[in-house]
Amino acid sequence: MIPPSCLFGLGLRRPHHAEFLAGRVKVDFVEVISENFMVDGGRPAAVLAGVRRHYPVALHGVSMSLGTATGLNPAYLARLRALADAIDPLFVSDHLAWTGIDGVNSHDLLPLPYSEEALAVVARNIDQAQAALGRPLLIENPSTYLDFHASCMGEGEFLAALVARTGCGLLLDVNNIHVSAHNHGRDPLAELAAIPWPAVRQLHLAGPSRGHDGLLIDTHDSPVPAPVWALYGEVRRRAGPVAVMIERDDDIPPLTDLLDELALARAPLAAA
Amino acid sequence: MSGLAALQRRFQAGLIAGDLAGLAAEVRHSAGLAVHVHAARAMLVEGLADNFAKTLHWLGGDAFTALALDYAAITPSGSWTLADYGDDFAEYLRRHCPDAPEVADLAALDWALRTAFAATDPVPSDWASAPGVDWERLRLALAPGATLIAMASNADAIWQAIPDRPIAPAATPGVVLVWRQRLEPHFRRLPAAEAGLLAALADGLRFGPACDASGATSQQIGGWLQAWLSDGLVVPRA
Ligand SMILES: [Fe+2]
Repeated sequence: MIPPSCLFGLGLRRPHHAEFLAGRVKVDFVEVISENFMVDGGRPAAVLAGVRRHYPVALHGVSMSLGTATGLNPAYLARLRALADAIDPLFVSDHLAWTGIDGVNSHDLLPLPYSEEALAVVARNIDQAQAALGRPLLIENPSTYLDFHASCMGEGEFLAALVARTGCGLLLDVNNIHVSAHNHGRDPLAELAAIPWPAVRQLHLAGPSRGHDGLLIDTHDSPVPAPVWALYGEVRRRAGPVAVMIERDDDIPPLTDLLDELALARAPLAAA
Repeated sequence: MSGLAALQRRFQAGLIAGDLAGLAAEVRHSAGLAVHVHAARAMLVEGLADNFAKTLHWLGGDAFTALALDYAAITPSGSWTLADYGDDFAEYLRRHCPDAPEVADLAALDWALRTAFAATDPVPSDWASAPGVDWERLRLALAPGATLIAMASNADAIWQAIPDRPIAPAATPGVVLVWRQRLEPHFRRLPAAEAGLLAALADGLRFGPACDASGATSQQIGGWLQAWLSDGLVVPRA
């Protein structure tokens, strides 16, 4: 059964700015990359304000670096807070990952060992972020390519512990579940078992690509593939009302193509 | 130091060095290490390609990527956004392409336009018509996002011509002004006298003495000032 209050959205990408600014796009919400709008002024701020007049906006970050052992950057949090206060976002999210330490940013979502120590670090950082933002965060499961010996629990278990300790919500990226399960030789369905479903507020859909050594890479440059749609069906059966969106960051097609894809996400789930 | 902090410092040092082999003992399958080595470099190169689009076009993809990879290997990003990445890329190019000064000039122009794009919104320029402005002693500053670029070449003309028509590089030293008007970044080459006065003012000289030193007529200066004010280019120094 489809929960009654699901929302369906798309990411705001430069080739589509004009259509979103005109309010012509039939979506329930728009997701933006927070950092692109954490600037002093000029067109980014004007575009976001214009889009916000027509749509609720979800703020999706890529550089909070929630896994950094030495804590979060207060200047980053202050800037994000100002942005959130200005647009009253539907959600504020970032990844279960770290991007750098000691003031460096790799701009890559780097993996964490799923250890007790990392759990304490990420929980402390989420507490810091939620206090600084005055809002709950949604944490997104990342695509991973490495499996640390130091891990002592699965990703679902790790996320569930974060939810329990911090009250954060989850952004479940269906493609990332598919990619990580493939890369680590696990069953994606089994990965769903430990997810704390009531905490899931948002879903991401995307298409990966195939890298060297048989690994799947989270590239967001292709349509959502069949195995991700299949997994999406399973996720939707388990999740309550969620906001669903398709991530496309490269080889960006015309908006109509993405809306067609989004229509598939809206379609009633096939009977199990 | 915690185990996680130590792991992250080793990981980051490996990414910067372009080699994560030292982490192989920490993970079950080391194939994924190469994914991160590649991704971290690719992100920086893509960031430069975005921020220096005309420079990329002028150099061509292969030459640009080779230079960008070399720059990235010695220049970690310290910002939460790649839009800030490359603040000394033009200087790097000046050192590495000494025989083609238009390359660094193009990069400086790309960067200045990029900076102007998201600079703080300008204050209204009606301050100049308010009564009681002591012009003689007034100290001005360039508006946020406005820059003066000293160029050795005709990179401003090259920038304008890309991608439609080929234009040959030439040694035409001068000053190019970059600023933002409402939401659009602009640039124009300044006459030497105007450039000299604007640079003196940007350096903090008082308006009266700077005008005297410029050697320009008051009619010339009046014309320049009118254009600066209508473009929102100069603001009183706080
Ligand atoms: Fe995602």
